[in-house]
Amino acid sequence: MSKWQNFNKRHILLMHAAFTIAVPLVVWMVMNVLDTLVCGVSTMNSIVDWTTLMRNLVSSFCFALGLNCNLPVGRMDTSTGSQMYLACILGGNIALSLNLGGVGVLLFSMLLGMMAGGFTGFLFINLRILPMVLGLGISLVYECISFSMYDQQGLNLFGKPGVEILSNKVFIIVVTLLIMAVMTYLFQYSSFGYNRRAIQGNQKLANDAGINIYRNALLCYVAAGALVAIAGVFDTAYKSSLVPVLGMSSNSTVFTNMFPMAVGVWLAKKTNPVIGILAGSLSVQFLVLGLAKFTNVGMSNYMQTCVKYSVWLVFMIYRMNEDKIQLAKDKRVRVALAKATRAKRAAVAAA
Amino acid sequence: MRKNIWKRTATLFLAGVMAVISLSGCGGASSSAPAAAAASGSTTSAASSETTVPTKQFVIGVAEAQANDEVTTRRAYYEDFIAPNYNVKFIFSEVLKDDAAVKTFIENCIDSGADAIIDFKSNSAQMARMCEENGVIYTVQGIPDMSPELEDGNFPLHTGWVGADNAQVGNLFRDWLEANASADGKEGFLISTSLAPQGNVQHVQVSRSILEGLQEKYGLTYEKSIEDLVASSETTNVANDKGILITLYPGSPNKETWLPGISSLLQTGKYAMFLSSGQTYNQSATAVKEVEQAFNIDIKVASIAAFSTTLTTAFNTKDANGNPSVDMVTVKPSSALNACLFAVTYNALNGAIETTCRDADGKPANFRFQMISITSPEELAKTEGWDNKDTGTWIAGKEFVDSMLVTKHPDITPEDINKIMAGLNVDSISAMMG
Repeated sequence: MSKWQNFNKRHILLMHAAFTIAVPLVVWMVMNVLDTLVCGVSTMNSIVDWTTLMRNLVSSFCFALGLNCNLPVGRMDTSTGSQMYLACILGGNIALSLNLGGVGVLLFSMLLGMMAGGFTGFLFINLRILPMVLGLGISLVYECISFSMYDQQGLNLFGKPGVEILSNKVFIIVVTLLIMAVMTYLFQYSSFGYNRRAIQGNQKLANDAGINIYRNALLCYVAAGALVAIAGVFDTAYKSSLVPVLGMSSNSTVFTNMFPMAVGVWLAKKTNPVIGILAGSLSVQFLVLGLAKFTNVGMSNYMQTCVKYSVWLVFMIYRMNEDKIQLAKDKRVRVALAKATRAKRAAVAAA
Repeated sequence: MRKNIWKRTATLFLAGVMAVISLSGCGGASSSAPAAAAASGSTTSAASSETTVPTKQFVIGVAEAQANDEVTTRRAYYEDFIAPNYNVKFIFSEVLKDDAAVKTFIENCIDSGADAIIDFKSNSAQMARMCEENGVIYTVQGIPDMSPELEDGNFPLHTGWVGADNAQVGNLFRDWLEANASADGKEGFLISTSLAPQGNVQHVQVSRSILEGLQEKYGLTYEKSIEDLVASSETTNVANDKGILITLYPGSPNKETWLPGISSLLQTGKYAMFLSSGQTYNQSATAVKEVEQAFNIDIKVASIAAFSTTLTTAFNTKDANGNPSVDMVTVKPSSALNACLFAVTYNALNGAIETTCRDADGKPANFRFQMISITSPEELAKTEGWDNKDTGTWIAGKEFVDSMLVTKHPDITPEDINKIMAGLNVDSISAMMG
């Protein structure tokens, strides 16, 4: 075993932490070099970029975490985007009508998100429709409800008293830390989390072992609803308004956030899923902000989107073939070891 | 057994909650603006005209391109005011993303017995042909030069176009730039062309008007034609003979990359003017405000708008420099535009397409409407209550609509309708509204 492998083995936690930090750091460095060389500005050019990063990060992190509640357990809930629209439009407007400001908007949206998610989960455990098909149906219903409300105006936070807090950096950090603490406890240390992991391993065995897989599924849907609602509120705070959509357009939000979730799940191999998804979201946000600087040299929105999803595609190709690469690596090591052993034996024999 | 009871209770509870949610959403403004109130509440409505409702009912389909204040106002105007006063039934589309969606909508309208289509999305010979084949009248919100096939084709049931008077909109921007832009134009102009490259009629018209306004103000010669510039889906620096920095930024505000792109461009500090062809002043407000605060600069914002609480909020919300969030808006007199579209369509439905919808060459007529410019909270206050869907106070009341109808004025011509529309400005509307 080489010295490096030895060090790796002895400091495994340190190495895992370094790997988790290294991925967003590398993305930032690559984008920074490209931005500086091509556009003449750095990726994080000013305090405006940091504020944008934090706001978009918490939104993307929460949405990806919401998707991660169900996806690893084999439930692809395509209705999470519409849950976000419904929760934010209804919850946000109720909070605004009660003059509860940004915190009220956040709490009411969360509450409505839990209800919307809970209803989807309730239908799933009772009707046992394929989660993806159920999600598509629920998407259409939730989209129509949110479209028909409030004169199709959605949620407008522009100029509303008390909503500035949603762009306050300290508030964003506090919310992010709270979400991390709660979700780490739920996923890693609560009986809900243990059961979820057991179900993730084998649903039938978990059921046979006495785990209430239906209650667990319902709770996953509720947690996902709350998380995507938080994501929607911070996204709306940046864009000032959330315009309702129809025709399953809310699904685009789901697929947009699949990227940070996929990176996060990959990073979670070396850390816990919450930190992994945070690091994954951070990496994707650095990519998005870095690409946004290319607007200065004439790159269109469409091209930026194209580059972003091409990176995702490359990442997915790597993920799908990761085991093959590892296999080839192991093979090389084995061959080298065999060669070295033969050489050693030959040397001994010659002597 | 206990499990079943729990399940049923939970089902009932959740179903109840969802029903309450749905119903609370379905309520709202439409119920607060009943048809009768809308008609009588209008300053220029039934009070001064006869109130006889035509006996023959027409069905008109309305193809929408977006969902915003303007669309909500239009819907309220048509449903609450026009429908009961002229015995017309309207079928409204959802947001139509492309021509295929418009086609499907028109087919559905035809199946539902529609007599006419008012098209806010496409400006297309294909739609005109489909209407032609089914004996349906076709009216477009837009301008003829955007659809040469429609202009040159033979479509006897196509009434014509109702679009913004580009020259007038250009003048509004030019006048505002005259007063607010520097003499040499060194501050830089960022223009959001929004969905103009995708053919959104309003965005194309306004983008062209802004470029024409800048051209007039600085006597510029562009290296490319304005049509080509507006149609570009890339971020484009407009090459011109005076070296003035004019950047066109296309894209939908709903795309995740739109706002970071705007922020990134503004952070270069090269732009002190942000002009938008769409209603984006509220979506860009946070990004503009943050850049102003971080770089201690003043960015002036001009945009399209509709009368709404969002607009009032924008004029009453101060940026880092103590100026309103938006410095100038050009507002469509929404009900007047919709009244014109309705009148043209209604005249055709009453068999007067040849006399009321054809120009001197016998081609479908080109009707124009005037935009209104608002530059301060005081000016906005003057327009308070105009096109208010909650109170049913419309700029285009019954007298105004009647003045464009062949059923009331058998000798009316397209020129007369254009004269009526050209007469609309803040003063004339103020006088009309009393």
